Amino acid sequence: MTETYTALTETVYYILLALLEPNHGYGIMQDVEQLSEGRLKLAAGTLYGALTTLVERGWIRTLPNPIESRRINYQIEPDGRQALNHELNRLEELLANGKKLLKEQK
Amino acid sequence: MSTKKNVFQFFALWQHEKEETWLNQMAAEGWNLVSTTGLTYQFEHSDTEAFTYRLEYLKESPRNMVNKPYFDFLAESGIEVVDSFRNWVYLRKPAELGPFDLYSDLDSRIEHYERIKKGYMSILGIVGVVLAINLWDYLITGELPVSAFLIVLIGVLGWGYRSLSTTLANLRKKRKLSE
Repeated sequence: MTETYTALTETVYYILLALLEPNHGYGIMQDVEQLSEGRLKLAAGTLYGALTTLVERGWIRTLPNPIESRRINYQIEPDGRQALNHELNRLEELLANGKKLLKEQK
Repeated sequence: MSTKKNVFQFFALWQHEKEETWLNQMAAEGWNLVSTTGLTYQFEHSDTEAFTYRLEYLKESPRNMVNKPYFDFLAESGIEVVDSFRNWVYLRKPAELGPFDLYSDLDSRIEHYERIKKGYMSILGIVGVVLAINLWDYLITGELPVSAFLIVLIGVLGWGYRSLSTTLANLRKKRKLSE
């Protein structure tokens, strides 16, 4: 199935980045906060909802956690990686256009 | 001084943010919620333990096991389930672990309000019809005081619907411009 890519939300974008390596819920929160230098603090309800949707979509998957069965680990899937790459191209375009046009204004 | 108290307080279904604010004010005075029946609230006093409280309306009853993975997930960041009433779950997080919010974007906030509204509509559907049928009966038999009382009740229910719809519409308007 071919996916049509629209803009990812900030929440989804950062979750996918945090899941390039296996990670659990609380770890994702901490990583995203660190990556965004404290700007984005993912709240637990929002994160859980997004993770559930992403698993259903097949962009990430759950991994069995051998040490703590209650703590679920997640990792990115090829489809999720592809979505990230598309988003990166889109963001580069946004950034380039914004910089160019704002500079012309000055 | 007694370390426990039981408080009677009424909040309508669409007033959960007010209820949350009230619970956090109580907590700021050292009175931590430990259980609730929906109309009465049991608090325990503590000078050392401080919590932030949040309410969430779940799709399935909080007593249903389908919510267990979610509660386990919340526990990872120190959030614990205090009690539940119907589909509402009362959550708290120790203040020393940092700020506590359940939602960090508009989409999830909108989804939450949609769940609340859906739950409210299912009640409204049944109660509203019963009230309207009764009102009709009392009106044709000319029982004005009872009729007036029923009209007020229907008005309150309508006000709740309006309140939820307005909040949702405002969130959706905001979402058109940003996340």
